[in-house]
Amino acid sequence: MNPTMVLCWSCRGVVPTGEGFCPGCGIIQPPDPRRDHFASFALRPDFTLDLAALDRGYREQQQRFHPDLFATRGATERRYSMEHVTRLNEGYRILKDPLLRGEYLLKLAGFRSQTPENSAPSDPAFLMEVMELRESLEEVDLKRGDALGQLTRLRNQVEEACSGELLAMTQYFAAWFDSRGQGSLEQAARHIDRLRYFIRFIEELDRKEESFFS
Amino acid sequence: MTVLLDIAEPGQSLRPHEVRSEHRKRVVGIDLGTTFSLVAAVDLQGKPACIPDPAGHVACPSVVCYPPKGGVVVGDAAVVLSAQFPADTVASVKRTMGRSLEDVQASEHRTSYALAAGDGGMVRIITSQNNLSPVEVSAAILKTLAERAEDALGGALQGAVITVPAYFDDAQRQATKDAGRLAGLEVLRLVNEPTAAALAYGLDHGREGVYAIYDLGGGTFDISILRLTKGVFQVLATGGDSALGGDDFDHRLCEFFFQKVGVEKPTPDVLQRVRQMARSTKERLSQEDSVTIALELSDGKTWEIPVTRTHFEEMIADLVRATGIPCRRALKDAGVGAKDLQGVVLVGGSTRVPMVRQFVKDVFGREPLSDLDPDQVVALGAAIQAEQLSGNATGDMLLLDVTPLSLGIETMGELVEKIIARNAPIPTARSQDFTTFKDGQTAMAIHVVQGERELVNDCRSLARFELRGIPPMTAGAARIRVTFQVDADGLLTVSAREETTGIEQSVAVKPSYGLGDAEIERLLREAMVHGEEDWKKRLLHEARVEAERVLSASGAALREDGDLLDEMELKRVKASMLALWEASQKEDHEAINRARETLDKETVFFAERRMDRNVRRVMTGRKVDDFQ
Repeated sequence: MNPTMVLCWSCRGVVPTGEGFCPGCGIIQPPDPRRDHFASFALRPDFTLDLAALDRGYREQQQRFHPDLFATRGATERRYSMEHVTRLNEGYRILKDPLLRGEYLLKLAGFRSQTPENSAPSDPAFLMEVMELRESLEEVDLKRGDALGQLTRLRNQVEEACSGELLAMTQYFAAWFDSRGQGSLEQAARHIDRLRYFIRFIEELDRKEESFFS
Repeated sequence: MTVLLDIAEPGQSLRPHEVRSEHRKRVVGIDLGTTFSLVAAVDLQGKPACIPDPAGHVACPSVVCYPPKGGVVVGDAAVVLSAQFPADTVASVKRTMGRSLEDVQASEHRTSYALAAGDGGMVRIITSQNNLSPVEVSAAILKTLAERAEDALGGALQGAVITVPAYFDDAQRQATKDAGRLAGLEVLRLVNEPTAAALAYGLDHGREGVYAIYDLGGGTFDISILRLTKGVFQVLATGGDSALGGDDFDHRLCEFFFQKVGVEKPTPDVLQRVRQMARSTKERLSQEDSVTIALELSDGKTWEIPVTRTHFEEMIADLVRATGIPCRRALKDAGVGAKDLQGVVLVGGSTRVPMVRQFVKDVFGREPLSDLDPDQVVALGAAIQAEQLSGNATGDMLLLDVTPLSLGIETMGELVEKIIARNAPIPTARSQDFTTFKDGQTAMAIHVVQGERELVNDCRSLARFELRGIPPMTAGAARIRVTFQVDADGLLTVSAREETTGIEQSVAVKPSYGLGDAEIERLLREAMVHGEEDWKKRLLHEARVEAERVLSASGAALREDGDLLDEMELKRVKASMLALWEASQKEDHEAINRARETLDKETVFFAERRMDRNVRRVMTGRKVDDFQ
């Protein structure tokens, strides 16, 4: 049961839930913890996201709530400002990143993944694919002249695989928003798991590449 | 509830020029640098400017001398005294802020003053007068700048923004904030140096797009990638090295000189002289192709050593190249390529070295911008931010900064579990759940570290604390939620909570490197006791500075227009000048001021005659029409 209004902590006037500032006295209100990250930036919850609109929304919200604007105010106002912006930063981090955005959408939809986060892929064919990639990465000898070229080829290969997963996620999430069919969510979750493996792989590749430069 | 008054919408309060001057707060921006420090303020027209000392210099050398017979001397005067008291003169103290003795000794730098380990291994500086923490030395510099600003702004300061290298870790930031408090300043915010520079640049030019700020100062290197959109300065990524700067270039030259003259262990005074020589050699080699220095040693022997720019560049090539890795990493973290940049801005005196400019050009594939003075731009940006924070100006400008280094805690096997990733926008908070690993375990040690490496020993240890009172459970049953909160200054607070019982522990990460609250309080109290003495000293100092100014102005006037006075008049003016000079050699500030006023009165008619003559000079040879 969500109340639709609360009382302003400062003037005790009525504030509609989710308003950042009291319409009566103009004082900053605490953030609404139930509000989802899409709503914080005035965006429709979806996997396909207009990144320019996210950036714009992020800037606009920062210009309302950032602690710098409350530096001369009382401790309560400063705390609420910090809470708002901490949430905004968290939301921005999640929505900007397709993997985190996908996971977040699953969470919003109440979907619980069957596979624990750090387990090996359950799909044997995919497991083989990941193991082969790892072997190729381990075989890259940084002392050899063509090491960077090999790393770049591997990177391109995996980035292409990532694009495939993203495309699949886009389609299954769209299907879910159309029909709310649980099957679409399961499919989306499967591709999110695959994307996660590929992204971890790229992180490892980054580390190897960085050790080449330093 | 009736609202009769007009209520301004949030964020739509007064425009800068509408803040009446009596309501303006006296706030400043301070660039607390390794070699130089500056203070700046914004004027009524909204323009930031650095505040000069009475001699007209804006850069105050970050040098503090503690002469054996007492007192504290800061800036140019301390540089002069350093020849006499090399072991009691502290330079480049910024390199030791928030650092342990071990850290400082690990760098290849020699200091002319002695170091020791204090509480928790934190570095202390030993002079013949006292045993100091770097925080106290920095506070002395801040105090000098604050006094300079108070003279210029006409009253006590109500707030200051102090800049820190973007790549400063939590201990270094905490130490800087402590120094501000110790200097009696209200620190409105710590702002990252490259971000401050961007602020000065962006506002000056109304620029938009993605910019890289390459900031190579005396002792630190920062690279920041920012996006400027409609007054919002969003830091996308930052990186650097908090122990790399122009000092290292000087150091290489010093080593070269010592090697040439066959000195292995220089005395403090020789070290001091050679270091100054190295600095000026470096500066001259930015203009000239070769420089020859003459070095006289204590045995009376004089050496002449030539250095070419090419040779100097060989000495520093690896240092310059070392700035490339953080640049590439920052671009990658920001998710942009060099071609996406709108421009690259150079900040810091060390970017005057031609090799550095060429390197930046090569890395980013474009000619860097340096149309603002790279020495002043950080202080100017800090002043702009101080103005915003104090409410003097409520423009549409906003800074969104990030935390430079990843924050995490130690887990099994001395590994680091990262909780907040580097380049996360601040303020930020993240939580992570941990559990017990032994049956019946009732306490959990939490070790907070900062850095990018995977092993605890390769990261900086920030704090250790213990969560006690966990009810005995089987291993893995307890749920301990550790929350990291980083505030807008980039400072960290860590709390831990056992979820089933609600037992909670929280620490503001006040590492052993900073000063404890109790120590700051003690130092502030001591400052109060000496307050009256300090005040008298200050009045005397001010009177002397003013006397000197009047004396040199009168001397110059006599040289130029002495012929306007007859013999008697000339004698009287000269006698008053002599009386003022004599008074200024004594300790009575009131007598100095009286003598100065007498001289002022004696020279009124002289000033009038000079004015007449100058007006006639300007008008000579022009037709009346020119003045209509």
